[in-house]
Amino acid sequence: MALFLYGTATNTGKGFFTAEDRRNFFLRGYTGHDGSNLIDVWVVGYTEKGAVWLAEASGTEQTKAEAQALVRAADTIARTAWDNNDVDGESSAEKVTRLGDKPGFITIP
Amino acid sequence: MTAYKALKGKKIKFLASDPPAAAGEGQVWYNGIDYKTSVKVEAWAAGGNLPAAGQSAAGFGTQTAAVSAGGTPPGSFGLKTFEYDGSSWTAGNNMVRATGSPYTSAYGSGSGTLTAGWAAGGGYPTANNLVENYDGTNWTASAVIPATRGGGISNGPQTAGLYFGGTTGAPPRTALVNSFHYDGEAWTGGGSLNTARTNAGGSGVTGSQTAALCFAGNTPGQTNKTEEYDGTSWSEVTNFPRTASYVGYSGSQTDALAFSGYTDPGNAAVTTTGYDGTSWSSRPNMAAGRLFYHSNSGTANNALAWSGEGLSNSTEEFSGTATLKVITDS
Repeated sequence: MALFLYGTATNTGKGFFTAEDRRNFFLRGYTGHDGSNLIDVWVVGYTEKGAVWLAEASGTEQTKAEAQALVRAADTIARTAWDNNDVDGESSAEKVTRLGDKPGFITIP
Repeated sequence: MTAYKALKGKKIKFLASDPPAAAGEGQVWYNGIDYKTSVKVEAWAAGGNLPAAGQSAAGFGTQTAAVSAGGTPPGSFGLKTFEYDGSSWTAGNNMVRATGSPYTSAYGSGSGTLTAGWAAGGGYPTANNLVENYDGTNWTASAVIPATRGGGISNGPQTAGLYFGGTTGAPPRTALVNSFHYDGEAWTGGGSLNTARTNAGGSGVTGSQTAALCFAGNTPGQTNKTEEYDGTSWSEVTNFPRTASYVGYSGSQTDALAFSGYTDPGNAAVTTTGYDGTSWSSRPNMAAGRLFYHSNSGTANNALAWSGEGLSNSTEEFSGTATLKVITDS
């Protein structure tokens, strides 16, 4: 049996997920990219309450592979942006100070 | 329930009416109908989104009256101030520090309340020693930190604040041990951390000049060392459960919350950990992992976290609420 649902849904802010939601089912958010725009990707506990939450969030269900691809696309863009974000005369250590470490690739559960 | 006395060495109290949930936390009683207790129920929930994605703003205030000051990217944040009312963020008046580098307000830290806050240090490529006080409407330049600092922590109220750790802000950006006391108008030297560090976590707005906490951070490598400050000196205490840096933080020396940050460079964790003044314990995870540069505020029971990497215009609110429960044998 699957442990998780995967989907995309725009985080609308306050109330998008509640403390009760968090106690009721597993929920983890990631930044994805659909080729045009950044998109919020959600991994949701595979329960009735989790499925209802994704539906009421006007979410679009994805397969795990599709969700992972969206996250990988965002990671790639973030890593490229990090690589291209240079300041003349800046050392690599200084760049880490300014931007933080180069983003890694995230593997969703 | 006859086993209760054998287990605990005392009888269950009879109370004609239930006490307030907060007062009854950890106790067991009988009210003539039910056996009851009070437990803390905790979780992170979504808060209002910021107008733009960003990071490295200085945060202070409470979960329902917070301030985000400065940050990056310069266009969306720069010298800008945003206030949070528990539901949404609204723009306030800009910080007053002189421009020059577009990053002059980034990587600083803040403390205090929405109507009596302060923000100190930060800046890139060279850190500054600038300090500003906030009154809920306007920023006012205040006395500068005795030395330039980036990546340190501002802790405590505006009139009895403490700034500790960080770096000189100029290459090679060596991590530092120094603490400075702030009275809202002037600075004096404080005790030295045992482990020099920057990008650490600590007590924040509810910390004080005589009871502060510092944990994790870069030395430059990541550390799990934890220290407590008594107003004069720092002492090592129980290590943070993971080596980490850029961890979010809220609360005090005896009731603190640590969340997310980097455990592995480049990959943010969602882990949340509580500290009771003696030991660390696991708490409910955040929904999204982030890298924090002090974009956090509130207490250990009502924390606020925003920006950072991940879903980076999003906000999360942590709430720990004492709740009455009926005890059953199932």
